[in-house]
Amino acid sequence: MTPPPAQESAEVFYEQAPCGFLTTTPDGTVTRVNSTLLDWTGYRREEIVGTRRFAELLTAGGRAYHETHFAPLLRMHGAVKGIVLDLACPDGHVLPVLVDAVVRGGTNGSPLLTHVALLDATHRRAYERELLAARKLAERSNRRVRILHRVVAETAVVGDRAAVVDTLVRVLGEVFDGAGAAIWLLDADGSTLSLASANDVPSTLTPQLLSTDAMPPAAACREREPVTVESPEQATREFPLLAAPLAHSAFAAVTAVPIVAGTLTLGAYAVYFGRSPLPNADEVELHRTLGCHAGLAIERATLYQALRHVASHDGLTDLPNRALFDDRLEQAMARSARSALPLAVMVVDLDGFKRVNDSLGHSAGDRVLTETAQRLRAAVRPHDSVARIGGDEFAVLCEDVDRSETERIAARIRTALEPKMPIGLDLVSATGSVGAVVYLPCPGGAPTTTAQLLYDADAAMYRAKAGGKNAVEISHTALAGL
Amino acid sequence: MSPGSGCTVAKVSVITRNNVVLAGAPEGRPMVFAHGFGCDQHMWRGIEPAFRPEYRTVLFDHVGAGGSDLTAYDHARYNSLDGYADDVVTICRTIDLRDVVFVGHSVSAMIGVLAATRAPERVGALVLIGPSPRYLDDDISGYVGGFSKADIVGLLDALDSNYLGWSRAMAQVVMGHPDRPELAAELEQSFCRTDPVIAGHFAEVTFLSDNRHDLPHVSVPTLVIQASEDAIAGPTVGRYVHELIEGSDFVMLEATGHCPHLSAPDETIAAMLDFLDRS
Repeated sequence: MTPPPAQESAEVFYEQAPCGFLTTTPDGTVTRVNSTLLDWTGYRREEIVGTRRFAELLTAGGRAYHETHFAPLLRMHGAVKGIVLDLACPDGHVLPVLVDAVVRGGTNGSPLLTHVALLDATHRRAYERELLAARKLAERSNRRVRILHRVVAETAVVGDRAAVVDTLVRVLGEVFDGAGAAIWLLDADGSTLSLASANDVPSTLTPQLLSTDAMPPAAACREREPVTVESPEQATREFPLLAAPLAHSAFAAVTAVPIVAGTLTLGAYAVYFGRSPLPNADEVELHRTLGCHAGLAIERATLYQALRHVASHDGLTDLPNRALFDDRLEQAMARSARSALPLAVMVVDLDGFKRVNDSLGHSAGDRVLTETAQRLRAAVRPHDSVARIGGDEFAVLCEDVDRSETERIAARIRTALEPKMPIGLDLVSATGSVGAVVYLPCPGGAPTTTAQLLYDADAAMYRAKAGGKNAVEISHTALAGL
Repeated sequence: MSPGSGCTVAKVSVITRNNVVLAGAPEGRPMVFAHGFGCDQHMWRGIEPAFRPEYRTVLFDHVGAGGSDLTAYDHARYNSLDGYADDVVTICRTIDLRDVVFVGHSVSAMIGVLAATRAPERVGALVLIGPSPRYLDDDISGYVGGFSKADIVGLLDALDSNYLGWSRAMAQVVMGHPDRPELAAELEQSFCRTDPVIAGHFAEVTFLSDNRHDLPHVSVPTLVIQASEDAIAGPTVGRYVHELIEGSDFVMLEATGHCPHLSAPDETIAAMLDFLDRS
C-alpha cells in the first residue's frame, strides 16, 4: 500500500475542499461548481453549470435578499463577506450557508467572473435561530405590554360611555401604527350593531347599522372570536359587501374583534390596515385581550352612567332632581353672566294634590305626578329643563328668554295642566300654580344665587296660589337690574 | 430673527436627515435618484455622473438607509410608502426643484409614482427601473407579483440572520482588534448598511404594499426600464406598469438582474437619454 500523498493536486483540493466553491459570470450564471457543493445539495453538475444562476439555487426569501442586497453590494464593492443565505436543494431541504464572494476583473477593469465560497452554516444557524427566537419573544411581549398598558391607562379615567368609546377608537388607531378604527355596539335586544365611533375610516367601511354578519364586526360578534380579512381578494370570497369599499379605500386589511364582558357580547371593534399582514398568532391573542379590556371599560362606563343617573334623577318621573337642577341653574347663570342674555326660573305646584293622594291613594297620586311631568315636558321648549324638586313641586329653567317669552311659557304650562287627567275610572283635576322669576345679570348689579332665584320663584308661586290657584305670577325682584 | 430663518432650519434638517448630495450643472434640469430596498445612494454611482454635464443631480438616502439620520425613523410615518413619498416631495420643495426627472429603482419607482401624483408641480418625468406595484401574487385577479407571503417571511428571516453577523462584526470593532485593522476599514467602506429593525420594517412595507390603483393617476411622461431577467420584478410586471400608466414608454434591456443601473450602466444611460431627448 502506498502512503497517502502529503499534498493533493490543486484540482483535487478544489473538488473536495471542506467548503463549497462555485464560479459565475458577471450576470450570475454558474460556470463551475465543486463536488463538495454538489454532494451537499444533491444537484447534478449538469443541472447547474451553464444553466442556472447562483440566485436560482436559493430559497425565494434568500433570492430576494440576494437580488436586493448581495448582488448590488458585490457589484459596488467587488467583494462580499459573511452573508448568510439559504440554498434550496432539489429534494426540498434547505441548507443554510455562509457566503463569501469576490469579483475578478479583466485588464480593462470590467468584471469577468465571480468566485463564491460557501460554508455549511447549519449549526451556526440553529444557534442563531435560538437567539433570534428569544429576542423576538422579548420584543413581542414588550409590544404586547406596551399596547395593553396604553389602552388600559387611557380608559382608566371614569367617564360616560360615549367618551370611553371615542377614547378606545382613538387609542386603537394609534397603537396599531396610525391605522383607522371603529366601534359598533349591540342594541338592547342584541340583534343590531350600531356604529358608536369611528376615526380615520371612510364611511363606506363603517355603516351606521350592521344587522347581518356580512361585515367582519358582525361575524366577530357571532363567533365571539377575532376575524381578520387580509386583502380585498379575501373580502371578495368571504365578505362580498366589504370587497368594493375596501378596494376603493386606502386600506387593504381589517381585523374585527368582539368586545366582551363575561358571557355578554357588547359589540365589536375593527382596526383597518394599509397593507396585508403577515401571519401572526400573537396578534390574535392580543386582540382577544383588548376585546375583553374594551368590554370592561365600556361596562364600567355604562354602570357609572346609570349610577349617576339614579343619583341625579327622580325615580318616579325620571325628571332631574333638585341637586341636578341646582347644577344646571348654576351653569346657566354663569353662561348668562358671560352672554348677558336673561334666563327664567319657574316653580310649579299642583293645586289640590294632597286631596288626590288622600282620596284616591298614593298610586293614583304617583300617576298624577307622572302625567304632570309629561305635560310639563311637552309645554316647555325642547332645550328647557324640567325638574321635580319636591313632592308635588316642579321647577323649570329657561335660558335666553325675556319677560314676555317667560309669560308665554308660563301660560302654556298653566294651560297644559288644566284638562282633567283620567286616572283609572276617575277624572282627576290637578291644575298648577306657576311662579316665575326673570334674571338678567348686569354690571354693578347685586350677585344672585341659585337659592335666591328659586326662593323668588317660590314666593311668586305662593302669590299665584293665594290669588286663587291655577294662575301665573311673574316676580319683579330680580328685574331690578334691568 | 429674520423671516427666513425657519426655512433654513427645515432645509438643514431635511438635507441631513436624507443625506442629500447635490452635483452636476447648477442651472440644469434637476434629476433626483431614489434607491431601492436593501441599498443606498451608492448604487447610482455607475450612472449618475453621466448626467452631471447637463443635469443638476440629486442623490439621497431614504430615512433608515445609508447615511440618513436613523433617529428620524418614525415607525408610524414609514409604515406606508406615503411617508417616503412625502420625503421626496419635501426634498424637492426644500431645495426648490421643479420639473424634476425622478429616477426610482425597485420600490422607489412606486414612491416616485406617489410623489408625482402628490406634487405634479415638482415632478416633470418619471424613470422607473424594475418597478413593481405589488410583489405578492393575487389569486383572484390572476396578477402575478412573483412572491407569496411565505417568501416574504423568508426574506425577513434572511435579514434577521445577517443582522446577527453584522452585529458580531460590529462588536469586534467596538471591542478593538488592533491585530485586525481591516475589520474597521471593512465596516467603514461597506455600502448599503441598514439598521436591521428598520430594514425588516421597510421590507414589510415594500413587499406587502399594493399600489396598482395609483398607476392610472400618473400624468407625467414616464419611462419603464425593464431588465430581461429580474427575479424581483419580472418583465410581465414591468409591462403591467407600462400598460397602466397611459402614454408611458417601455424599454426592455438586454441586461439581466434586478439592478441594470449597476450591471449595465451604459445601456441604462442610453435608454434614459433616448427617453429624455424625446419627452
